Amino acid sequence: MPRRQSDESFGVSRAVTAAKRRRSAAAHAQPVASVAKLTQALTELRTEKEKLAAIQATIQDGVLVLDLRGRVQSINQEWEQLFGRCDKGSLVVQCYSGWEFETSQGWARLMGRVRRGQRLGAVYVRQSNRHYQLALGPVMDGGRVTAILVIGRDITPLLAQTLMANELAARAQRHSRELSELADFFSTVGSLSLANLYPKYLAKIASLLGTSGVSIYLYNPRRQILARQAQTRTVDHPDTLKLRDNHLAVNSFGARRSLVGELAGGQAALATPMIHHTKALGVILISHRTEPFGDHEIKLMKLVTARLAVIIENATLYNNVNARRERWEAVFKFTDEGIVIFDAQGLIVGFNPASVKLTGRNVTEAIGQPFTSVVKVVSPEGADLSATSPLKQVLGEGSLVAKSQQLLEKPNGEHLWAEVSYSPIFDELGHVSSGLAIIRNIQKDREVEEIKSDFISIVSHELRTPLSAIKGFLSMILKKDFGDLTEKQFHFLNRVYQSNQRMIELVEDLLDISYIESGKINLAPMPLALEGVIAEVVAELANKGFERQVMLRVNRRHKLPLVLADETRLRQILINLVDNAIKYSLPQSDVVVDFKVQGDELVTSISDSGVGITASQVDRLFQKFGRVYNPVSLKAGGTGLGLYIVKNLVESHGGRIWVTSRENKGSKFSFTLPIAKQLPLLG
Amino acid sequence: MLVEDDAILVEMYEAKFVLEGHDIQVATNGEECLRILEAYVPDIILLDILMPRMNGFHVLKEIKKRPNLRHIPVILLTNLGEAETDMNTELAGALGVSDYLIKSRHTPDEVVEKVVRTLKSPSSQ
Repeated sequence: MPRRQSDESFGVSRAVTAAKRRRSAAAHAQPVASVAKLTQALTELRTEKEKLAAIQATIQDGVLVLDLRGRVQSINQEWEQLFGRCDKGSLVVQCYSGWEFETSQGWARLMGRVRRGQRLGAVYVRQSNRHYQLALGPVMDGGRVTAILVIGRDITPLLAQTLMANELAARAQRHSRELSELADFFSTVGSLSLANLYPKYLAKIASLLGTSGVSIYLYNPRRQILARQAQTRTVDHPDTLKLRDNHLAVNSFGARRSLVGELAGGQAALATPMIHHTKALGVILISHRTEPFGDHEIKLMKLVTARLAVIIENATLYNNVNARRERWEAVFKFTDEGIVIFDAQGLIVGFNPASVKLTGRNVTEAIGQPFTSVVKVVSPEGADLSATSPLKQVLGEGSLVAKSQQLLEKPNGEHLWAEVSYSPIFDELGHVSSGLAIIRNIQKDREVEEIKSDFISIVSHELRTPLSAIKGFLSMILKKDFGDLTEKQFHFLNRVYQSNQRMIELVEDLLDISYIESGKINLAPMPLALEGVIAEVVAELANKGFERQVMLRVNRRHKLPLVLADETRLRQILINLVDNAIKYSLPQSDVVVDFKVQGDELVTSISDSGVGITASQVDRLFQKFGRVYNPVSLKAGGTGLGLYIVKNLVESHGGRIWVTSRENKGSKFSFTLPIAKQLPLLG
Repeated sequence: MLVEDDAILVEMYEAKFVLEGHDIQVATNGEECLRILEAYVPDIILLDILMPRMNGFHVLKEIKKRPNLRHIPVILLTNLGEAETDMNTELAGALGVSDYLIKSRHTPDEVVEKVVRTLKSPSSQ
């Protein structure tokens, strides 16, 4: 067979090859008919060529045909546009030398494989920043490879899209991971113990944001600082930050929003404040991350801090409430005073250990029982006083009631003096929901009171007895009941009598004071006609006045209204004041008693024209032993206790006492007494 | 009749009453007083309160129980203050006491005077 020339065609079409075979067979068989056959073959060939040319023109890929040595036989427009010109006959290796083949192959290797008949589907090439995909295949003639076909395309845009898709997929995956971590974060039940809480959340934050440095700061309002509560081990943030410091965390806290910035060491950091409603609890500082912090991280941290703020707030509240509850429980358990809590029906719901001791009932016996049957109040004679219990008042009206001197009876018959205070407990709407009673054991106090009383009684009796003997005997001697006395004897015995009298008065005053101070002055006020008492007092002191040449005068124009006073004590008040007036009067002056009705009080005034009292001395006047130093008064005697007692007595009647005075012009002591209200006329 | 446990005060009051020409019978404690009263009816009784074993109030109650002694006026003659005995006009009336005298406030002849006045007053007739 004659050697065939390689022609301008690419032999993928079997039809062409077949046609060629037919043509050559036909050429052998009939030399005469071969011219017509040849013409037909040529026409068919042209048709095929046109078809191929059409394909070549339409295809968008680059098409390159190489001979077995790699020289360009045919090159289409697209190839040249995509990859650059390469003249026919040039070596492909030379035209496209900058190409980097994936898997370090090369033109030679690839062509070798194709020459051996291999078809190579996807060969990737990179040229600077462009990516190409090639397909190589043999052109066969019979069983022999006659040429190398290369189809190539530029997949750079496709690759970029793929890379972006990969990137998006990676990001989506990352977001999905973050979301699941966030969900985990939010679903974790906050611990009520802050100490347990922090390490857990530190780890979660670090993992979620891919940082190794996380610090949680809480704001301490008392000390005005941000104190670090927890940090990951690797980080080196400051322990405390003052609000004045210029630090990213402080600034973020102050501005109440996230801030991205730099730390002292140059590290990029993100600070996010923890805000619960409007309260700023603290700030979280994160740093040491390979990627920079952006909006995405800020958003994540916002979610994290919102959750953490709620958890911290809850834990803090719980701890505060718990601490308060523990303090209350400690008081409830350990106080000496009985605490009994009762509900709106008066049934006991709370009963502390001290109550057990004071009432003689244990907790199981007391709970659920009516208050009045457990805290049993009796009269000293043993009568049940539960009907007078103030429980109704406390629960019904919401009043506070204090009852002193209550006698409690225990089941074993023992009695105990106690002071019971009642208080209502209100709910949020302001209604009385329950009540509280506090029982104080005053047995000791009463015993002390009794001892004091006894002591006073004993003292008063024991002191008065010898004093009365001295007074008695001396008076009889001075009356010359036992014989005559010389003038001197009389005089000095009189002095003894007077001194003794002073002692007696001092004992009386001291006793009065001890009664006043223990609140035991028993006044029996009743409607009194002052006129009578005044008359008695004047009669009693007239002599004394006469001795000092002082006239006692009572100014009374109209009938005085009855006053509410204790007769004995009123007499004591008047004697004291008139006696004082006489003592401090200058000779040949008057002591005047005056009256004035003022509203529902009667004002009684005793005026003297004596030495007077300065303003500074007035202050000390009504105090114990506050006697005004005065040459005239030194002779007057007295204990200095008188006015103190008088003031107490006046005030015990519900009145007031005061003095107006001018130096060397005299003094005026005034006191008020309530006017007895008119009793309805009976019969 | 004077019921008083302090010997010195007995001496004092006895001297005065005798000087003024009155008959005075003395008992130094409650039981002695009641024993004497079985045989002797005084015109008036001066009664101390703080005495050993039987105090004045107790004696007073006993006296008031006996029909032949009930009418005798009783004056409490003591050194206990009114505050210590919760004494007032009401209580005195309820106990059947004519007066309450504190020894250290009155000289013996004031006491005699009080006795004479009480005996002269219509309620004791």
